[in-house]
Amino acid sequence: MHVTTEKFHGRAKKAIANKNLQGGLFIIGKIFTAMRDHAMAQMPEFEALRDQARDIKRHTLENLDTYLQQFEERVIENGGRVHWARDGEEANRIIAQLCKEVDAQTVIKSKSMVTEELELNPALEAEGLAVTETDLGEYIIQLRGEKPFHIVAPAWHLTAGEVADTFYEAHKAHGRTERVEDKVKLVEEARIVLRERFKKADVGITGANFLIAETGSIALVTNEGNADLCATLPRKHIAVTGIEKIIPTLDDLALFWRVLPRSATGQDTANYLSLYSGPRREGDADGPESFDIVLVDNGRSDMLGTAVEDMLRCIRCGACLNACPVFTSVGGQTYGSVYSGPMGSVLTPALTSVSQAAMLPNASTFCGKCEEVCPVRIPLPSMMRHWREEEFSKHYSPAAQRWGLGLWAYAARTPWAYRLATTWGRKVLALMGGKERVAHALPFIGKGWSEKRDLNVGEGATFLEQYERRKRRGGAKGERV
Amino acid sequence: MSAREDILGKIARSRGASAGTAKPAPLRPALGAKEGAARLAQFCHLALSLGCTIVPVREMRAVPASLAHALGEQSLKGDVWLNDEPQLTALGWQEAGLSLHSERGKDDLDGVISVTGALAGLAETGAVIMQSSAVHPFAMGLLPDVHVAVLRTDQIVAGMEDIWPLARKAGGNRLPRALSLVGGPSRTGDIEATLVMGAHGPRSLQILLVGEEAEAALEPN
Repeated sequence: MHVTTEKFHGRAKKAIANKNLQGGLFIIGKIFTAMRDHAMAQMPEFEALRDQARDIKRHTLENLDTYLQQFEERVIENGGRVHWARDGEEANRIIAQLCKEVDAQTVIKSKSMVTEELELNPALEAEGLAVTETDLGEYIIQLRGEKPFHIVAPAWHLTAGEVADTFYEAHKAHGRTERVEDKVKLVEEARIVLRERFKKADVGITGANFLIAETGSIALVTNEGNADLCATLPRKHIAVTGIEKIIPTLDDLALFWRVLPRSATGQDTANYLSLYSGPRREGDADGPESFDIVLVDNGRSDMLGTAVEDMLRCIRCGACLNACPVFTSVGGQTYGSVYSGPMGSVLTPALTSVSQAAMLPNASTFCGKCEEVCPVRIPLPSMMRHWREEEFSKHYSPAAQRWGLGLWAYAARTPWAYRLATTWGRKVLALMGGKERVAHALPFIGKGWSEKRDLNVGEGATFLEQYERRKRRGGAKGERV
Repeated sequence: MSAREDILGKIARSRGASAGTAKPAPLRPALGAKEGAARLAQFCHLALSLGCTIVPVREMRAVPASLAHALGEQSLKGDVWLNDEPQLTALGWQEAGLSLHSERGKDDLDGVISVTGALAGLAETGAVIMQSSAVHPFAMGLLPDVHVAVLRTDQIVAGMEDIWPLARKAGGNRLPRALSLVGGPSRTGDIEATLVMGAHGPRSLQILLVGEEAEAALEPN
């Protein structure tokens, strides 16, 4: 998994200046959070379901090896195969090998964040396979060579006009000569082009929203129905997912199917909630000849028993992205990781390293909205704080910041130094503020502040000075001063 | 060491530190626990709000004529692809003026009108439950432009939990290969968050709801 999180600042500036992008972000921040609230109001048990979702995931993670082995047994009973991959390279090698087994040339895919994490598409293309994403948003960003903008809505940073340009260029080869900007026509155009790919593909690759230990099934959630076509039409179906996606039973799945669409898009249900349990059965009228599941670790087992273990409960609904004031200002591509927003800021350092991804846990105001909306109640802010502490203790943060924090820590622990600094600081600021009590240009570290805004300077004495004065005026021990 | 042993070993070594969280028995929300007429009415209400159409039919025998009438109203031709469920194939389709087609290839099913039964209807969400079987090619619910699902009112279940026993029974003591809760026609919101129907699956999902109480359930209160 490659990350470019160090370019966060530069990309954030560009994103804030991009009017089209800001329009899309407004919809996510306002409309999607409102739709989620509405969906929650329709189900009075929703808070209790969130508690249960958290506990089921906790229980499953505490018994992860047991449930994974149970799942594997059931898959084999159903006539499928399970493959284990320690890291991205191993996963990609296994998947390419599975495609070769059936002499595949063309692959259709439904949206899977794990395969984005693995960078599967370039790995398969290097083996000579033609890979087509079929989720409309993923298809658009695949044509443009971009990373997903949002884990649920990958192409929401684009206007219909930009999509029209992309389709016009890409679909010339399919005999389409008209540039259309109407959204209904754009969807129709993609449907026509992708339908042919669906019918011809040798292999269908999907992710899995959940793995069911009880039955050896994979559960998929889509609105377009593309995952179902991927799992039904080609000769071979390969499902690629992380080991943490497992849940014990079908009744547990009912709970997560109630919680996921409501949290993700505010829908009471997604259009296609599907379970796939193996290859075509004897006598079945259709279905793939083989069914392979690739279970990917890629850093997940290392998270068990650590301060970020709770992150493995994540069901990738995107509610924390929609609620986040930072995400809804800068958008997903600013983060430089396929996982963005609060969940990405916790997960990315865990899957890569703090030194590579330290910028992300710092991209938070700690307002706590992410934790408030998380369907499995992941304490995202405290885990971001954990990464910040790691970053500081491992000396990854910039020298000026470390020096400043060190100075602050010294003052906070040394009363005389603190008093000296605040007393003189107040006097200097009061002088700079003059009669209007507003400082326009601060020196040193304050420059960053005053370049963009003024500083209202305080009036009168510091709290400690006032406290001392009142105490001297006669506040006896134990009395209010 | 194999990757499997490696991963399972790592997981096993990390165990012990965590406390034993008991797995709760998931609760069933009121939305998924409706009975009788309320269940049927909720199914109709939610299926319609998902963008399905519902045509009430008094009895199974009347299904072909109702379908012919419904297709006529939409100016659709009476060429239909029927799956192989005995309860459907036994009906008089030709007498109702419909032409049946039996080709099953991917190109044959692309863009047509399919007529199938369903495993169940789900009152909790308004979804139609489809499953793969010997008599139902699963692609018949995916490739056509119009999917007509024949559903009896006594097939409507309250909550998701009620689907599992039905599906296991149909699959011979285990789940069928494919099982879908289809909540209306395929749609996407991927361009500018605008909802557009007919993304990859059928553009319309038309339910023929068979039973004496079907018509009353559709009447607004």
